[in-house]
Amino acid sequence: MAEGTIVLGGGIAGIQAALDLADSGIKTYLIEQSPSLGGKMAQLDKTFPTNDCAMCILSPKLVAASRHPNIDLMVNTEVMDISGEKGDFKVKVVKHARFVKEELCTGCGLCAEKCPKKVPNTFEQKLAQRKAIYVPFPQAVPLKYTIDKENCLFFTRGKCKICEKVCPADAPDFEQSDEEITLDVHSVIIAPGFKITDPAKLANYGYGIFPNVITSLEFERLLSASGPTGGEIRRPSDNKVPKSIGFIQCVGSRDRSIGHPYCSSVCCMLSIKEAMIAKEHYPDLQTQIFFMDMRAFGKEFDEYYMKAEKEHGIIFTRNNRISGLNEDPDNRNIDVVYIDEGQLTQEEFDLMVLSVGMDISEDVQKVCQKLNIELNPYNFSKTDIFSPLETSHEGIFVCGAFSGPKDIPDSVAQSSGAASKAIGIISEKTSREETFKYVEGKTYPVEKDVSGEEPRIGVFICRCGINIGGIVDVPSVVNYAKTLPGVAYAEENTYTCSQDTQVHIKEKIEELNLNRIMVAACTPRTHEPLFQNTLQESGLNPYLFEMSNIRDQCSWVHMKEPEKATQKAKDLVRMAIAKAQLIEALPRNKVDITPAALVIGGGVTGMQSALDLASFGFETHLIEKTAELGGVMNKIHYTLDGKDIQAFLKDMIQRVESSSNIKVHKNSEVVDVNGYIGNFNSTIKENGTESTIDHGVAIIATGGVEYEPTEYLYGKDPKIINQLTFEKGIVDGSKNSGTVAMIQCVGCRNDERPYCSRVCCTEAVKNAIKFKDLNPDNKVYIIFKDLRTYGFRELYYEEAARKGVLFIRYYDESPPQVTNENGLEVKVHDHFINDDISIKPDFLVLSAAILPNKDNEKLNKLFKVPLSKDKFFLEAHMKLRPLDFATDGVFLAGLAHSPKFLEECLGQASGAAARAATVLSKPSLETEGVVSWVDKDMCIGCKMCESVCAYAAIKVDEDEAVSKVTEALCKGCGTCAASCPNRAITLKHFTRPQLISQISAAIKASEEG
Amino acid sequence: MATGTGSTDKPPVEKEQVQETVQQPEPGKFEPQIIGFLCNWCSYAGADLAGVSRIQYPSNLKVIRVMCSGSVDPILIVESLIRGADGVLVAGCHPGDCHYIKGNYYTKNRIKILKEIIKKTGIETERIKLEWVSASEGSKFASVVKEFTDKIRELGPSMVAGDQPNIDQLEGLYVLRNILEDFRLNVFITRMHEWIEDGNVYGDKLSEEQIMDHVNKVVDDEFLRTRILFATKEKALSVQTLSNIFKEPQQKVLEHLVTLRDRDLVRVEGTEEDAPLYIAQPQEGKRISTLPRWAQVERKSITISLANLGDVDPETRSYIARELLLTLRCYNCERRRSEVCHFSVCIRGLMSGVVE
Repeated sequence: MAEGTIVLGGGIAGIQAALDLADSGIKTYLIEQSPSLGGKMAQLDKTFPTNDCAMCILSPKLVAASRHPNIDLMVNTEVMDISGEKGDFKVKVVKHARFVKEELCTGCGLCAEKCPKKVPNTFEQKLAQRKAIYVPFPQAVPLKYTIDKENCLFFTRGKCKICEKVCPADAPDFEQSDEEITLDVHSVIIAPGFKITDPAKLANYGYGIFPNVITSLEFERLLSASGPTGGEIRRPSDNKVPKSIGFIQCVGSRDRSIGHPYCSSVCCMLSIKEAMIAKEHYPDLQTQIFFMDMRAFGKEFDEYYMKAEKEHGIIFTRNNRISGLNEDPDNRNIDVVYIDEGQLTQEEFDLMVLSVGMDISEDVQKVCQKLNIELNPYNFSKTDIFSPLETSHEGIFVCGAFSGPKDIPDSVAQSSGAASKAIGIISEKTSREETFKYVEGKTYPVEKDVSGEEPRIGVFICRCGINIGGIVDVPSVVNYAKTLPGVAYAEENTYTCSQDTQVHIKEKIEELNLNRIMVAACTPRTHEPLFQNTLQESGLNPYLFEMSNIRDQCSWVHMKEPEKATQKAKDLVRMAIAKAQLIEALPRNKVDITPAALVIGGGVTGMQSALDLASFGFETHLIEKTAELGGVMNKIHYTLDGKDIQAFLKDMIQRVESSSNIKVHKNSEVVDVNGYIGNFNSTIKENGTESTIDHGVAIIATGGVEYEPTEYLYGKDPKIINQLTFEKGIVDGSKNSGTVAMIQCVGCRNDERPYCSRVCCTEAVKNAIKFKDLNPDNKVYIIFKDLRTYGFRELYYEEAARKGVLFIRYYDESPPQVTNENGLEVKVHDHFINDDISIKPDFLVLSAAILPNKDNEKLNKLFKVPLSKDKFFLEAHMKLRPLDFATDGVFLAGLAHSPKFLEECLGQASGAAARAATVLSKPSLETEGVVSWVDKDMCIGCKMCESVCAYAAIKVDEDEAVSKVTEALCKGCGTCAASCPNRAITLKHFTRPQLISQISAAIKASEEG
Repeated sequence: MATGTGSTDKPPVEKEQVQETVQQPEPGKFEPQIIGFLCNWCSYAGADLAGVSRIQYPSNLKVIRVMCSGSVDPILIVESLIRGADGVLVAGCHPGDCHYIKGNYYTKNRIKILKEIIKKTGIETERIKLEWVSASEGSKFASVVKEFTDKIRELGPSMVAGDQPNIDQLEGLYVLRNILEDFRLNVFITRMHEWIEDGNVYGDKLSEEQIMDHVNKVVDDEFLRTRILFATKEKALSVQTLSNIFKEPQQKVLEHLVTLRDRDLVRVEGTEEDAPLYIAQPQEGKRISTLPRWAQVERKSITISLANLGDVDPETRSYIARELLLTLRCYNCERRRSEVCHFSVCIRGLMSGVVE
């Protein structure tokens, strides 16, 4: 019987899709070809535009994916074959031998330390070396070593096996063989990501010849604090810190000569980020970016770009493609020749970074052949604007960079979208309960009430093979622990985390009636859930557990000082036991979930979200302000590739209106919102009458509106129209010949609205081509700042140029001048020929900005969700949670987030539906144990906590004038507790007495020992 | 420079070489006791990475894991010092990286203000350190610990630690701990970021100096008040005596005594040459509140009972009531009712008193 979904690719896109599926109770196989999850994102140092540390935000996702009960993680695994059809695929995969037994390897790294064979480290872009037995990077998930057969001395020369001798867990297994597995699934999601363009193809840049020419990914590793240089930028030729760094954009992108005419979408921002971070490392560093068009089209990207130029002093040099680089043989600096104000200029840099584009690896192409997926001419997955998540093979969905170059948030949003489509395949054939059948997770025995009992702490101290035991005198720590108050039992284990020790701990709990457990081992970040699970299986509340990190933060970092390490281990154990005496069982309450959704906005985004949710079997209310569905899409007629939007829209509206699960409320608006995740109760006003709706989640898809220009005589001359009117004119035949001038960035990328509206360049190109197609003698001038036809849209820019559309660039200092005294005239200064150009068009078309919906400012108060500076909605996290709000249970999609294309809206809409399904699929929600608690007698209702809580989880009850915590929303950060001026709030499990007991123990222990 | 290790013209060092940089201290040498509060998501992960990378650092740091650096109450830092810690390290996500969105902004201001006011106790501010360490900065974490340990070594043992603590400093810390419970001060600490970045409810952006001025004023007030409380713990004293002890004008001492009486922390016990003697109220087992009595009792509005006034004509009654209202002070900023609250902390409108 087919069950669940396969996700191919363990990068951020695949992980997100797998997590969304698994969180909705769907069995998921997450398949990764390499030995670890993480993909390209793991290699990045920081991420734009927030300069977040990539590993910090990624690694919790990696751990979550590897620990999820509904995810079957298969690394080192490759797809071989597929048969069957959607709803019942049989996928044959091969799990390649790791030559290390996964269940035994503890990731201690002793093997790699002793392994004699050094190999270039591909994760570090070969800037460092690793051993033949290795983990790709220190935070790898799963943290299991792999023997690289190509390089292992035993496999190549027949002797060595040192790893086998040194491994304390007997994990190496040279006999291991590949394993073939057939998985029977409903659907497949493919998210294999990209590879960077091989810059060796670009001999003119001297990559591989000049040592100081490196790729942006190599540079990323140099910037990383955990990279080969520990975060110091050192150029390859002499290990010196460069004083100047140049960045060359569009290397391997927008370049037909190497078969990559498309734009890679992310490299402009990536270079800005790299230059910015490099300058943070070395403030005197000179950085210069050579680019053609600055494609900062995403949310708050333009502001980032301006900040880079104005505040960080990064030099931006607009140029034609840099044709080549030269090396000065004396100092090995890199020379670049470019045109500056019409003059040929030469500049020398200590280090040159090639901002390389995206490409698809041959491996992925082979997999696609096996999966029978059609590729586009550039080997990316072929998709359609109306179905951006679907491959040519029905039932196989695509997300991430493989469906077209894109950045992390766009990939993540699409991944959630692909998950939604995969759920759709399952729910097509089964009931809602059957679709989401694994939501309940594991059931445990009833918890014992230990509240009245004296603490009886069981202490388990791990030797971790020799990782701890080889440095810390574990027996003496155990003996010491036995003397501490509250300790009923203490012992040491070779591996406290091993499966048999779990059984043993359970026996000890039973036998000695232990009511608290303390484990001294590695880090609670990875292992706390494992032990908490053991406690729960023994009928103990999981919060009756405390952990002490005597490996990562003790034996491993004090290897040369065993006595001190032992002393510190005793101190740490003492601290943990002190806290363990005070910890309490924490209740986790169940909150019922209303399995219904409220979708606000009846445009394509809202309709798509509603359709997806309805297909899963959830009652969905679609709220539309006007009398008709469709939103702005009603005014757009054809897609970039010429498809009929109106036909698509008509069909979509018909599907929405005929769906039994969707209730459409036209002429309606939300006037009041009460409740929280799972239990919202909203009041809507429909045709003037108020009614209430109970719903578990809300999706905000309010769309955007077109800017009404005040510039360029708009409204004062009937020949001056906007892009939508022009499009209508082309369709109805009223505008079919003559000369047209278009001005871009009207109303945005200015001081008032510093953002880019993302779609206008492409829309202008689209209409220009169409107009040219009507009559090749028609003339079109596009007057622009940066032409931002990112991704495959670049091909249409090329096409337009080929068809004779003239592109004229203007700068902020010299915007085009429009007059109509002697007939309509547009004057613009062209920097290329350094002269004014005068155009006398029949029509002047303004590409007007997309503005946020005015209702945003009402809805943000109703739902208590934030707006960005530009008054679009602000998501929970710009990189990894693009469709969520910090407030649980409320999601966003489409133009409510920021301006975007139809296909992106559709992807986000489905994505928001999948995010919503992670909530709605569950019958009830379990609150966290670690939440804030308010002492009503101390609270004076000053609302300070309300103002610091990022999750709207604490609020002052107006009747009682004291704060109340909505446990379902509280994330347990404790900021309110520390901010409460009257100290009325306590964060459970981290109470002041508990923390003070740790402090006291930390000091006391050393004095005694 | 981001990592803080090595000078710029040195070739990159292999990790194994870094391990050698830990110095073996001589026997009998001062071994600092350092407490570290690390946020779970970035700094604790960074510390783990230092371990995974086997980067060696001194063993003096004892880590307490917290969920967010924003939950580190400055009182915990003071408690650490009182208990004899030689240094306290707080480490969290870089600004903008907070797992909980903005918790670390509060941390930044809390530590800044704590460092400012700890000066008054005579304890070196360098004993408290705030660092941003991300999950990928294992080597940074190690060098932060090493540098901080070296710094504390250089400063020598805390005067508060050991068998013979410096009583002045220790008392200063106790006073400080009390001060950190002060309502006004906590309002300042929490609102600081908002006032600087977005302005108060009147839209005025405040400068850091402006806020620090007020903080210092609050701290000076509370310092004196707490010292008065300590001095009157055993024996009832007059305004004159207290004024002599603290070398402060009598008027100021009296004002503070009135505030303390309002908060139910001192009472009058007897007189000496017609001057009232004040004694601290016993506070065993009771949380000291820095709020005046009425603010605690009546949450929604201030109710002043004139029932005890006895038989007075309505005109006098309303006159007294008006006067009383005018003399009421905001419990947040202690401004009078007639003044506009500069910091807009009177969120609950506690100033709108009701006279029965």
